[in-house]
Amino acid sequence: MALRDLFQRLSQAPTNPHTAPVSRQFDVADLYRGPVSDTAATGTGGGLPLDEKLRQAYFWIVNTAIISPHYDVEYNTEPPRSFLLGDSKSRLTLPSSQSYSSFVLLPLLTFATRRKCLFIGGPGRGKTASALLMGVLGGYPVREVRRAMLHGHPQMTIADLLGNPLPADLVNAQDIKDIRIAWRGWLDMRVKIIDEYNRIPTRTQSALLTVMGDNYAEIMDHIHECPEAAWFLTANDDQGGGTYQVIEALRDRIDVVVQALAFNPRFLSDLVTRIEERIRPEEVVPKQIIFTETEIDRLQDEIRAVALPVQVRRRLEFFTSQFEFCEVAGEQFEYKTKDTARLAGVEWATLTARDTGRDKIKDLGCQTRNGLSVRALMTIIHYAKAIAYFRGNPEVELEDLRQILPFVLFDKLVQDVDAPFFESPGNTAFRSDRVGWLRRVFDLSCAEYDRLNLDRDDPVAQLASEFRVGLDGVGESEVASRLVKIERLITDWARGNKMYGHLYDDMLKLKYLHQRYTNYLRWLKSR
Amino acid sequence: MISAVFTAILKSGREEFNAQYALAKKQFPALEAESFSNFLQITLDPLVVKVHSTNPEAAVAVAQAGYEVGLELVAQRLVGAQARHPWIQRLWEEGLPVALTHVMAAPREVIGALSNAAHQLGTVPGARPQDWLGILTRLAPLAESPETFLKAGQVAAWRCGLAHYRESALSVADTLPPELALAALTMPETSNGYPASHAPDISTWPEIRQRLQDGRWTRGLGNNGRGHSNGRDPSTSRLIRRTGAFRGFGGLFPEPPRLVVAQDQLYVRSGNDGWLLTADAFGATFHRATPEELAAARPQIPQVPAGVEVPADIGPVTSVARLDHTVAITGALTHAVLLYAVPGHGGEDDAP
Repeated sequence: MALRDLFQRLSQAPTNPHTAPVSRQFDVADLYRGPVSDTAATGTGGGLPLDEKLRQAYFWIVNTAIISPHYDVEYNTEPPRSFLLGDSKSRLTLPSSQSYSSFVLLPLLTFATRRKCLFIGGPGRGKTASALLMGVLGGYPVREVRRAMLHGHPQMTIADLLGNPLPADLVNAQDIKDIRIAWRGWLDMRVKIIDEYNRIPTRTQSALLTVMGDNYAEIMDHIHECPEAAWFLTANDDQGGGTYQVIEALRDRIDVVVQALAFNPRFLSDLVTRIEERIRPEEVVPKQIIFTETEIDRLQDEIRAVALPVQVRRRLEFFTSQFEFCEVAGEQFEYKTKDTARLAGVEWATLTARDTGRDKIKDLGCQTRNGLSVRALMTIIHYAKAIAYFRGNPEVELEDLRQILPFVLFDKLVQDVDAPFFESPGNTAFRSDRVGWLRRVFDLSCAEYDRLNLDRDDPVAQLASEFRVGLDGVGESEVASRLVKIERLITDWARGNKMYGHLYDDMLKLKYLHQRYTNYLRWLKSR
Repeated sequence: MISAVFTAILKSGREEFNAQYALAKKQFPALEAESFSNFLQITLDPLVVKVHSTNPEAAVAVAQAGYEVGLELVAQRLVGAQARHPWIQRLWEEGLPVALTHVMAAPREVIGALSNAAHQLGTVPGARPQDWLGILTRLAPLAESPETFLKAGQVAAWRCGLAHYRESALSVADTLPPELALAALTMPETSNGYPASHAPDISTWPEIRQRLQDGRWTRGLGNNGRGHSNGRDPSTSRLIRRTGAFRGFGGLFPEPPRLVVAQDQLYVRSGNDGWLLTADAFGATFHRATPEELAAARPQIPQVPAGVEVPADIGPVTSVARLDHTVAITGALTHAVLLYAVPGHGGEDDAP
């Protein structure tokens, strides 16, 4: 470059970058927005961004349809005011940011992501009414939603559930293919509601499982494909009580569990008004908050596009790795899991008696009888993205994860109620308060993550990211050096450290990396 | 006394109407049964009767929409005897009956949207809701559908003082038939003094559109869109408007304002507050400025540009802001901002 050119070169980047305020723009469409809701500009709500429409739906339900909302999904922008009340020092927190009622928010997120939500709680607490509202939000007339709702009962047959072969065809058909089936109408609904699902007989539950899990129904070799739908189920007892035991696979298909909390009699006057005026909220849902099928499709796409930052994902990985490891369950390293012991039918008490040497209060894995399934993890990610989207954020925050996690893992992470943790002062209530327990476990996991300084010093993550770059052009000496690095790390960790769940998973990841490098090195040498 | 037609409609949908009232009462505890009853009788009933006499089948939908919108308006004291301003009431009494075709075609959308617009025009200082209602009555028979009618109403709102909608309203005007666009921008006869026979010729629309685009201070449309020469020296900036007032007299400013500029926009500071000022030939509006906007705004040297005559009554000039098309000046003895049209931006014509 000539000296002259050097002097003439200008910086291509801003020399002192500042965020310039954007010049304010006005839209004449705002002329028709004001004190009267539902303007011409929004029409049926089609002009609104979908996250805004979702929030409007939430606030309409909370402010109008539900009489006494409980704000149990708490967000804070600054430290909240909290008070200790009573002999047991119960903590009442006044959140400093917009907080939500799980009984409304979780069903709404289920509606938006087309997943499966179970309402639990005593009779007459609004479980069915909330499910009905979701059907109406899906664009169905109230009457149609009511008619399509399945009511579980002890005599329910597969025909009651799915449909009947036409009697005339049963008599005249020469081939089973000729028998036409009158499928039940609910199968084609985009919002499916099953009331008191734990009263359905076990055999019929299995047929329901196929519809829930694989989205199709089958009778006499005839298949009926169902549209993608949001599912809402209700049960008076989530422990599988009711008339029939709920089969485990069916319970596992349910993505979130929401408890209908008790009615606060301070809101009795609202109840009186509702009786006097004969108001049924599901009959007066504003049309602006009703979603079309296309809008729900778009909602799903937009929710999926919400980013899950690495820092948040790592916290979830760390939390998950606490639970599956069980040192005494197997001899081979890979089989040292609670699932190995469960499959072998080993008694839990025997297993825990053999598991010695670890701090059973500090080790979070000692609080549960199982680990997390891939399905549960996928559900957590879906709902974390959905709640971030609902809050208008482009990416998931750690608090989103913290808030959503208890509702997903409610009946997926099984407590070991005999674990020493629950004997500690202040922890006994967690035996019955599973939402509070799961939140506490997540907080403890995050505290441990911080103590280990894993955001800054995570050698396994470094090795993994090095591997993710790819092996193209990596020479023998480099591979050998990486293998040494892995072995050295395992040696360091093996020295004196007790095994905990997260270390176990790290070891398995290191073994995976070691194996991939070993195979690659072998291939390099064979060329 | 409510008409038999409306009584029958209310009776047939009694449960739903009652449920709506109860829900509104929950949302707006201040909603009074008596006020709402008066609204039904005095405001909604005549509209329903008029619709019924034109098209009996449309009466139920109009009654339902009117009831729904009315609940929100009465609850917020925007119609009736206790209304904070008369313009929504006037709209229901004067505007909606002449736009009956559109009201019947899309009752909820038209009634809701126009009520909101009337509220906005009635609450923005300096806007002219009376003129807007006048233009609406002319637009109604010209518009083919509720959508075009509402779009034309947006353009008319800009014409009647909502200067901040200038760019957006011009874009909307482009989507309208020329006849409707011109009607939306032409003041009613009683307001601007032009005889009806001088209504703009639609062939002049492209020229007028261009002049509106080029000149922020262009306002002459009555004479087929052509401006008037008044023999003024074309190189001088003309004082077009004094806007803003002392808070004690119903204005915004607690003390004489000062001008600053950011992002090619005018901002006004007074006391600890700040506003964005948008102005053109049709009006001037203030909008609360954000702290970020105010932080980015900078004062200009308070030197009065050549060709600008400053009236003596404003006292010593305290701030000057100059944009491509506008010069703004404040003085020590006034709470108003003086707005001058820079030559070449349309301030030369006399038409109002």
